[in-house]
Amino acid sequence: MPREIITLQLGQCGNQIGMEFWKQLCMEHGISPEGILEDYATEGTDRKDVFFYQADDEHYIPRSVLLDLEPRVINTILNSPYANLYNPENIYMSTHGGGAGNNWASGYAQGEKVQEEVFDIIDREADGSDSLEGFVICHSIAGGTGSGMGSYMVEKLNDRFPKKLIQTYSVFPNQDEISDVVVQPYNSLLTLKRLTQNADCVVVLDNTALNRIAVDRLHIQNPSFSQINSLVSTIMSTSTTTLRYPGYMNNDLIGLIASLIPTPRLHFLMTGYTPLTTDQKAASVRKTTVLDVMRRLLQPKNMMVSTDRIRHINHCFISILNIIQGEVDPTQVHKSLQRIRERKLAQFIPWGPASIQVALSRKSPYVQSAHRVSGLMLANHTSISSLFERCLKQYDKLRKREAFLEQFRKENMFKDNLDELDNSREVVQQLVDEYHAATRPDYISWGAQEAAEGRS
Amino acid sequence: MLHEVLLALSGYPGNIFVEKDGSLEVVPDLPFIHPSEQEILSSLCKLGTFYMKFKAFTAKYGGAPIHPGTEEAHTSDLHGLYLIAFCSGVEKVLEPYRQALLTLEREILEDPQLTVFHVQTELMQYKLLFPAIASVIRQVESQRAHGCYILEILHKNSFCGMPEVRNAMEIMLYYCHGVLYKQLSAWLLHGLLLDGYNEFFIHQGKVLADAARAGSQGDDDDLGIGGLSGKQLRELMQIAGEEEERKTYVQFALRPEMLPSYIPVRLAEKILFVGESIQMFEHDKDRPAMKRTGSILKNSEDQFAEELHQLSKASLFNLAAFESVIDRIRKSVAEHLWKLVVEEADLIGHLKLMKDFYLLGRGELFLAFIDCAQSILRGPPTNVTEHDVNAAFLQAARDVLLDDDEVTQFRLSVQTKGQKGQKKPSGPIPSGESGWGVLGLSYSVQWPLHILFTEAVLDKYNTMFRFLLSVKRVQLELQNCWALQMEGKHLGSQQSDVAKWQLRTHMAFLLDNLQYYLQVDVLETQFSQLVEKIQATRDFENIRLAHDQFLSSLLAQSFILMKPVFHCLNEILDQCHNFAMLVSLNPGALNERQLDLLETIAKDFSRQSNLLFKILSSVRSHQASPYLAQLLLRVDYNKYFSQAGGTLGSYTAPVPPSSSSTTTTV
Repeated sequence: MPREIITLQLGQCGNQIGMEFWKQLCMEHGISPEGILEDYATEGTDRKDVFFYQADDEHYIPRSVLLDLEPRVINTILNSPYANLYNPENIYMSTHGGGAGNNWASGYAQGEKVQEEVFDIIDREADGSDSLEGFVICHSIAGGTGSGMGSYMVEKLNDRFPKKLIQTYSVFPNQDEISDVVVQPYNSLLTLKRLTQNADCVVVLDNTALNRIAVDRLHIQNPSFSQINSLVSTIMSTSTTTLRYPGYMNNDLIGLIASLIPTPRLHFLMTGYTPLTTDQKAASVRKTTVLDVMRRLLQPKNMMVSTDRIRHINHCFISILNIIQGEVDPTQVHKSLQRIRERKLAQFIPWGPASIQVALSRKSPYVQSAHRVSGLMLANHTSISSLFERCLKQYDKLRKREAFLEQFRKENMFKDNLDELDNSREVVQQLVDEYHAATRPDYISWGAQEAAEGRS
Repeated sequence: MLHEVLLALSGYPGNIFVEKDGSLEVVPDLPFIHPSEQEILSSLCKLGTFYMKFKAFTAKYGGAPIHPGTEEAHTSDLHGLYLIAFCSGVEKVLEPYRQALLTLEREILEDPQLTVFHVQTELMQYKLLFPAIASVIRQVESQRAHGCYILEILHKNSFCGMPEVRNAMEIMLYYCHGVLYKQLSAWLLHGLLLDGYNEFFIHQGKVLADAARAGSQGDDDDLGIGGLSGKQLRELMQIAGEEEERKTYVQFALRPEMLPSYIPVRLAEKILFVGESIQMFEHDKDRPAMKRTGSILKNSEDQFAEELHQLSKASLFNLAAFESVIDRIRKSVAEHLWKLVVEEADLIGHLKLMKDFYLLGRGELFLAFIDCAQSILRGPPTNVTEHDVNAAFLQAARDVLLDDDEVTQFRLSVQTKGQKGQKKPSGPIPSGESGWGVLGLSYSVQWPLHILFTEAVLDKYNTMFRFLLSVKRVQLELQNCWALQMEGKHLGSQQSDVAKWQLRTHMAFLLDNLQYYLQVDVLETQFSQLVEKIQATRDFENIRLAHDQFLSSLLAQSFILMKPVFHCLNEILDQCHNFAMLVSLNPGALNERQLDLLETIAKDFSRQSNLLFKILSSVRSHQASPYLAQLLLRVDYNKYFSQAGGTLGSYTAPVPPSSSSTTTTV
């Protein structure tokens, strides 16, 4: 029973990283851009059926739904060599093609309008799978379509498929540069509420950190979108590697994320990957060992989320899963764990058991790598709350000035009042509070205290 | 009169020397014999008596062998080739005596003045020799010595300070070894057991297969690295395949009572191994696979035959030389087997397959299988369960797109109650009466890998299989509860739920880490070591040794052999299972009774995990079982476990502090 996963890519950013993701998957499984299995890949023991299905003529079709309110990015995809990979019926572009104008409210409202057509696609895909496990959504939280329509989709999916998992790969905007989207803080906040309440797992891809990593670690002066996106696709493909190259564990999505998320709301994960390479240069090939990889993964500079050091809060790991690929000597794993503990390289929560889980995974035989061992870390770390705090701060700044709100008031949701914004702020604030509480030993009773306070 | 003496010495009674009670005696009080002569004659009579008995013995047993299988073969008390050889040996030893008598006769004829003293001095040496031989014969007769045991008696008696006696014994040994070498070369070079009288120290084990296995089960489970233990060798020839195939393989075993003490057991086992291997190949010569392989000894057969022949010619048995020849043959056979097993039969590929199936390497397959079979195996097994389970297994395999020819080598078996009595389950059944506990996996081993994957080995794999499957199953159940937990992500957390979900988190944590420990620290590590060893050697026996070590390490490090820990883990699995049942059947809020149940589960779980923690940490310092510390490291990675354990006595149980602590603090 393949636990199929349907991927939804929304908006400009979502479609871009989605495309990179499928490119990467095709490469790893030996599938040509037209969906034909390459001759060298016919003998593989990989599981293509989790993410692909086969058409009558045996060519592989991604279980992917492409959604956008403006045609630009999807047209680029349709003009690329990968045009024939996707099922054309799974591509939905808004007919008027006007986009969401970077406005969450507009995206949300349009999502509502087109939902019937979109869910026709999704239902068809869901019916076409034996035992659908869940949905993966790629989007950005800052723009209009990805955030607005994405929010709507997350809510609706949760509603219509309550038993299915929803995992998102959510791109957070770059804080270091001035955004051309002025209402970005509103968009982010409103999206965060949905991610908190309706998604089961959010993999945070922070553009700030991705850019910083590209500049600092890969020495690219002005990283392009495609360079950043290649980082993202590496993360996305590696985090699904245990599903696609099945081993003894983590063979389904739930197995992958359940151990990472001990309490329902703290489901925002950060990632790290090492060793990073780019296409241009393979000059600096390091010697890689398990310990080396595991240690690097714990370094903040390799994290794909930029967090601020906050003095008064003792941020810590709630859980860690390392997916190690390559020629691994399994005896090294235990030694590395021991070493990391001795050196106190990772600080863990005080209120419950936590450890570094290490999954050894196979690697695609068709993608050559200069490094013997590579690793991805999926971590649940309380410091991710600083990302949300930043969001709140920016929101508060705008909100105090009542800036740019007229665009929102145009839509039904905000016509009468701005309660939705206030409510979202409250939810995100609670999330931040909960992350802070999770750094303290009495976190377990925190929920009860909150509830008690709420009642009184 | 001297002729009379000579006749008597040749064992024939006369007038002066009469036979009385089977011994020769001088007729007493003959007037022409001086008392002193009487003395001498009496002593000569003793020689005559011995000789007479020897002759009677060799005449009785030294003749043509009784055809095995005839009635006589069973009724006759002593028989066999070794006995005949022994008789020839006795004859050979008596040869000089007869020569001496001839010489004496000639001398007597030439010189009638010779006295009886001369006769006595000439035959002096035999006075020492004959009693020794007589005693050997007596031992052979009284102990009903048979076959190789005669060698043992001769060998024991050859430890003697008197050179004549020792020489005589060695000559007799030489004759008997002649038979031994004949049997050995047939066995070593052609795998034939030419042993019509059951005399060889290797024999065909017939019915003892099942009985021995049932009996040996317990012993084999121990940690001892009995790479070459007799039991395993006995089971060597077994194949776990279809019945008809199994019949064609005969098993051989050492017969310890027949093994002469001067041949060490290890050597005998080498001999057994070589013969068996060759036997196996000879037997399968008609198989297509054998067409290419040809004879196992290839061209060295002649050389080894020659060497064995040389050895058999040597008058003295030289253990060192013997062993070195055996070693050379063994090495050649072992290398050939290695080639066959590793290169032609793709041992490593098969081991990977074993790992994929028995050790749940194909996680996705078992994930699908557990889904499919959940409803079938939940209840106690019935007659159709096995069929249903196999259908589910095949279905699961197809769903995950496995090759059919890989899967069909494996078959699930379910032991229903009726069969249970016949074979004791190899491990305690964790989930009581449900079908999961009696689920087994069988593998149709392909020739020639059956020499490695014997029934006993597969039993061990099965023990691992059951344990790993139960861990995996409970882990999945807890994960499904997680999905329920996640449904509360948009709700404010409720008090009882916090306790419930906290318990789930702790359970899942423990199981996840146990699983990671088992798979990474134990299975992957041991497996990579095994593969390394197989690639490093060219000797089949080393492979078998490494494989046996692999299995016993697995069983030891997964705590199956460590009863307290294993029991504890099973209890924990049970409680997790109960929890998952309770929660998944009642997704809403729990009522009073269910909350009580939950509390009981929590209590049991915390008690067992506390026990586990104590066991793990108490032996942490011991070098003997470092793997306990490995599990502890994972489970107690952020020291939460040990800290909670430290305050255990005061207020709350270590693992689910939630259930009690939240209720008390709020």
